[in-house]
Formats: sequence, C-alpha cells, structure tokens
Amino acid sequence: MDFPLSKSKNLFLEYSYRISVLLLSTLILYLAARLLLVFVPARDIFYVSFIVAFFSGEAFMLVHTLGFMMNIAKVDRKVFSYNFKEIKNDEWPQVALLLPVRNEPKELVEKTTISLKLLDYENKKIYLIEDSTQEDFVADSKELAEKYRINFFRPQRIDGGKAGVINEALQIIQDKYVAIFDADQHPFPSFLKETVAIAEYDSNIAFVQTPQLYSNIHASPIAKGAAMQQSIFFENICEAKSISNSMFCCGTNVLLRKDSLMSVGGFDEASITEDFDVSVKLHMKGHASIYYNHARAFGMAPETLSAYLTQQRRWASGTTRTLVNVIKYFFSKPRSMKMGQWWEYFLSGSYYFIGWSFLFLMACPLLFLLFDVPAYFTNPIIFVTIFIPYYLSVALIFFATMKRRNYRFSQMYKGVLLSSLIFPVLIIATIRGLTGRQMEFKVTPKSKSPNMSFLSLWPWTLMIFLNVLAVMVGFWRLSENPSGIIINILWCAYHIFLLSHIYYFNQSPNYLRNI
Amino acid sequence: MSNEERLSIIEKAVYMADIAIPNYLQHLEAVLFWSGIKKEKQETILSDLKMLEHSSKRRAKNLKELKENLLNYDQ
Repeated sequence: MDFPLSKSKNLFLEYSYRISVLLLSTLILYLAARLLLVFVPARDIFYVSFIVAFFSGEAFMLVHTLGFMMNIAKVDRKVFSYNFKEIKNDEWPQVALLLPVRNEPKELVEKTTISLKLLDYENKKIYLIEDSTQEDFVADSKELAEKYRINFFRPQRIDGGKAGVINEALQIIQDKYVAIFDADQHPFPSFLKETVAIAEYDSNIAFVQTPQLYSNIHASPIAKGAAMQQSIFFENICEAKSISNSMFCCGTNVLLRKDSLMSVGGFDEASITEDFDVSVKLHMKGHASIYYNHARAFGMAPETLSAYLTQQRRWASGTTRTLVNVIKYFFSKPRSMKMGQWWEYFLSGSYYFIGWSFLFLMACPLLFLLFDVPAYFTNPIIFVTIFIPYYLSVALIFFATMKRRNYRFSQMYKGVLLSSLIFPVLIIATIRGLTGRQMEFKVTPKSKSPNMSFLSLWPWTLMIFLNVLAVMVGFWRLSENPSGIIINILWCAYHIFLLSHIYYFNQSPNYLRNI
Repeated sequence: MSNEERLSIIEKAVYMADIAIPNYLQHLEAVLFWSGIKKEKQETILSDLKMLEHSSKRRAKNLKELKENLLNYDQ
C-alpha cells in the first residue's frame, strides 16, 4: 500500500515554470514596496518600533514562503526513487524495536505491541520501555510484556525524559539498528523490511524516517486539523529536506543505525526535542538521512485542544532551543554541513516564530483603527497591485502543489488555519526556547481529557474583543479615509473569523460528547 | 512441529485477526480520506473493508476455539 498516491500531472505542473516566474515577480515587487515603506520618514519612536516589528513579521513570512517555494522546486526537479539493498532471507540484520511508554493506557500499548509483533521481520527484539510514574501502569506493562513475550525494560533514572530512557536502553542493546515507535504509532507489517533495506544500501545512512500520519481524523475537529498539518509537512517539505540531506528524525516511525547514534553520544537528555537535536549532530558528523515517503505507520492525533497545545508547546520550545545551538554551530563549525543543510535547519528551527509574525500582522489593522498608527494597508493602490497578487500567488501555489498529491482545499484549510491560530502558545514557547528555560518533557496526552475552559482561552477572546472594537471604531471613523479604513476593517473581520475557530477546535472528542 | 510451536502460530493468527486487522482497517479509513478517490467509491471500499473486519472477527473466534482444543488435548 502506498500513501500518498503518486503525484499526478495537472495544469499546475504544465504551467509551473510560468507560475514560478509570476510568484517570484510578486515576491520581489512586494519586498521592494515593503522596504520602501520602512524607510518612509518616521514620526516617533513608537511608530518606528511598530514598523520594524511589522516588517520583521512580514520578512519572516517571506523567508519561509521562499523556503517552501524552493522546496517545491527541488521536489519538482527530482523523480523520487529509493535504493534498496537486496538481502538474503538469513542475512537481515538484528533490529531492536523500542516502545517507550509513560502512563499510557493499556489498550493503546497493547495495540502497538501487537503491531510490532506482527512486523514481517524475523530478526527483531521488542523492548517495552516502561517509564510510568504510576505503579498501575507499570503493572499493566509487565503483564503485556509477559503475555506477548517481549522484553520489559524499566529505566533506573527518572530525570532524562524520553531521551534518557532510550539512552539507558541503548546501553544493553547490541543490535545493529533500533526502530523507535511512540505508544500510539502502529507500523504496518512491511515497515522494517523496507527501511532496513534502504539503510543497508549505504552504511553512511544514520536513519530512515517515515511519515507520522494520524488516522483518528474523525475523532474531533482538533484531531482532523492536526492530521492536516502533519500531511502538509510530510509531503513536499520533508521530501525536499531529504534531497538536501537535512531530513531530521521525528522521534517515531524511524529506523536508526545504532553505531551512528552512539557516535554522537545518543540523544541529548537536556533537550525536549531530542530527535531534532540528534539529527543536527548526525548531519554535522557527515552522516546521511533518508525520508521514505510511504505511509508505513499510522498513529493518533491529539484529540483535545489542551493535548494539542501541550504537544505544540513542547515542539516549539525544543526546536527553538536547538535553533540557538544550530546558530552557534554555524559560526563555530561552518564547514560541518553544506549551505543547503544549514538553510533547511534554519527554516525548521525558526518555524515556530510564526506565532510572532501572526501577532504583529494582527496588530497592524488594530493599531491603525484604534490608535491611528499608519499602516501601508491604508493605501488601496499598494494593497491591490502589490499585496493581493503576492498573497494570491502564494496561496495558489500552496494549494496547487497539495492538489497534485490529491489533497483537496477542504482538507487543507483547517490545518493552515490551525497553524496561525495557536500563536499565543508559540510566542511563549519560543521565549522559553530562546531563554533556555527548561520545560519538562511531557508526553502528548492521549487520555480522554475534557475540553479547555472558556477562561483559559482568554488570549483568543481578548483578541476577538479588540478586533470587534476596532471594527466598530472603524465604522465610526469611516469618513476620514474610506478606502483605507474599509481595507483594515476587512482584515479585522478576517482575524475575527480566524480567531473564533479556537472554540470550534475546543470541542470534545465525539466519544465524550455523547456521554 | 511441536504443540508449543502450533500454539504460537495460532496465537499470532489470533492477534492478527482479532486486533491487528481491525486496527489496520481503522488506519485505512484515513488513507481513503486523503486518497482523492471519489466519495461514492470510498464508501464502497469502506463497506468491503467492514465485511473483511467481520470475517476477521469470525476467524479470530474460530482460532481461539482451536487454541482451546489444542490446550485441552495437551492436558
């Protein structure tokens, strides 16, 4: 079974060159106009700070848009194929399958254990790494290990998070490869034979990563949104990273060469995104990574908003922390990776600053309507001739590339919307990441937790309130500058539409709603 | 083949029929959702998959009985 379906030829592909030129032109035009507007004589320090913040937000978006477009161009130029080593039946190397669990429901771990048992691969050993803090979970795991005759491993240390328990397990594991699966990830039977054959082809390959796709899409709106986000990431972006030899390990559904892993000292226990961190180190050591874009494992998306935010907070904080290290490495050891790899790591590591961009961009029409802080959106000519073409061409290219992979607009837009909606969490998490404030490793909750209280959603409620207020003030001031004010009112309306989705995503999972 | 080996094979078959196949099918529903296949066609495939799930459950039941028989025979 192959998923996603192979890229189909469509109108976009045939016109991709012309579209790329159009996009590049709109990008350049937009950037030039924005730069010019930054240098317009400033009124005061408040105005200057606002302009700088706003421009930084936009510049960030532009850089990431450019990165995405470069990824698409890279993927377009290459016909994807993978090299598999032919291996005789009795020569398949030994693989240790690691299943680290912490306070996970027994039924969930049992399903995953069975999936691992049923992998079509003789030379495998399964290790259930039990890191629960509650004794009843430990007892459940022991029972499962006995029932399915797999190895039970209880780490001695309790302070190293997922990285720590895996490192401890690695000390007793003698196998050539280790494959890691989160408690809710279920590999399909062919997972090992395919990934091992790829890794065996070239001894320099440190790991083979497969997509982490969610199948509980109908469980709740947030599960569907998160699944959409994953699908976006695991298509063009990951394929392009693989081409530049900068695909990073995502911590699950991955096969790692143990020697390579140990050559960089295993996983960094100080990091809460140890997978991303170890990938940088492996690439700096000259190892290669492969992204095998075939769905060979499926898992569960977070089903409640609080679970999703916990996951995003950890990813954002940990990735930002690693970005700080990447920048240090870049200046201290610039030759340890190629420019293309540094660029990809810079993009991945800085992605979560998108929260700041959204805040600045949302603040723009608010400040204009409420406090008369000038915004370039007030000029309808600039708006129509420069911003709209840029915005539309970016959206067109994004959705057209996803369409080529059989995704529909209706399946994508909520994922895109969710990315911008979680900006308050990303802002706090990136500050934590930058300042090095340690966050505890928290497993993404999978239990049936209820939805978030109305009060805990105050950042979104406050922003909605401010936008509604700005719209009202805008109508009151309409006669001052009708076209400029209408454009900004429309932006506020768009932001209200966007922000109000937080209540949509905060719905309980279906199985709880009927109780 | 020893009885223990037989039991182990049957046990594996029970896991497959009883838990793994329904689990894989649940994941395949998501594959269908993303596949780009027309909704009507998806529904036909889904109903075929449900049939497979039912027959799998039935097979699991038979295999469990077989396992019990083997265990009793052993004693």
